[in-house]
Amino acid sequence: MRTRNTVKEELVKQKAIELIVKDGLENFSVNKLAKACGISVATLYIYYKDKDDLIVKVAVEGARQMSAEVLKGFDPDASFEEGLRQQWRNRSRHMMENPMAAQLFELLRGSTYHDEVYKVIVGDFTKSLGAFMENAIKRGEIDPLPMEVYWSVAFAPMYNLVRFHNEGKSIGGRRFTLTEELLWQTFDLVLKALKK
Amino acid sequence: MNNILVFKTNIQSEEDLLVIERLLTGMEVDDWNVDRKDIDCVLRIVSNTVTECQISSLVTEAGFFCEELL
Repeated sequence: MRTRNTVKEELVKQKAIELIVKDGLENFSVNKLAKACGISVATLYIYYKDKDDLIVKVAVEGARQMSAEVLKGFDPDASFEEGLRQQWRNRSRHMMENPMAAQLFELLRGSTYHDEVYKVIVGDFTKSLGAFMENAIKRGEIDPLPMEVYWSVAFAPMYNLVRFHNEGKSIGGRRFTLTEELLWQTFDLVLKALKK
Repeated sequence: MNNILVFKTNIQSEEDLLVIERLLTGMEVDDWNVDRKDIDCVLRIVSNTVTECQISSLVTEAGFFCEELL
């Protein structure tokens, strides 16, 4: 009888994300994953029922980790500036330390797996961020805004900088590295735009 | 924990699945599925009693390719 092995499970998750990002969801196969991990296909089918099950479980685990890291040290009752700064810190760090996971979520966004994976990060995640925004409005720190507008202004600039950083280049192929200085310079501009 | 047997096959269509379902009816199989989205079309059998040989000969006799994955 074959048994579970947690060390290999971690390797499997990491390699699966790498392969999906490299080959796309369609071309990803359990066989390729087994080869990349140096284990048998049969072993993978003990952990996972089929290819779909594998993709969903790996992505859900990744989404859970991301939610936990993004909410780490975040207080929905904090002042708008302090809370947003914490969010920028957590999100940029997570995306720069896990560039593959970030790309995986981009891929999943347009796929049939989207709903199953994203219901995991609803819950605590949106509750806490929604409360944060409402608190800031109640205290008169920001104007009431549609969630989408708030979200885009608050986070899109940071996501874009991290994307440039992860690709190593910006507009026109210019080499780019995101420094603390650039990140917080951009943050100040965003704060100016949102804060009353 | 139950034993899990996996086979590389060419089981692909809905009709193929029905044939397999008929073959497995009456056997002591707790669960089974075919991963039709994967290139190996893996047949996965969960059972404590059924052997690799039984499954591969049964599926092969029905006209499918069936090779145990180790």
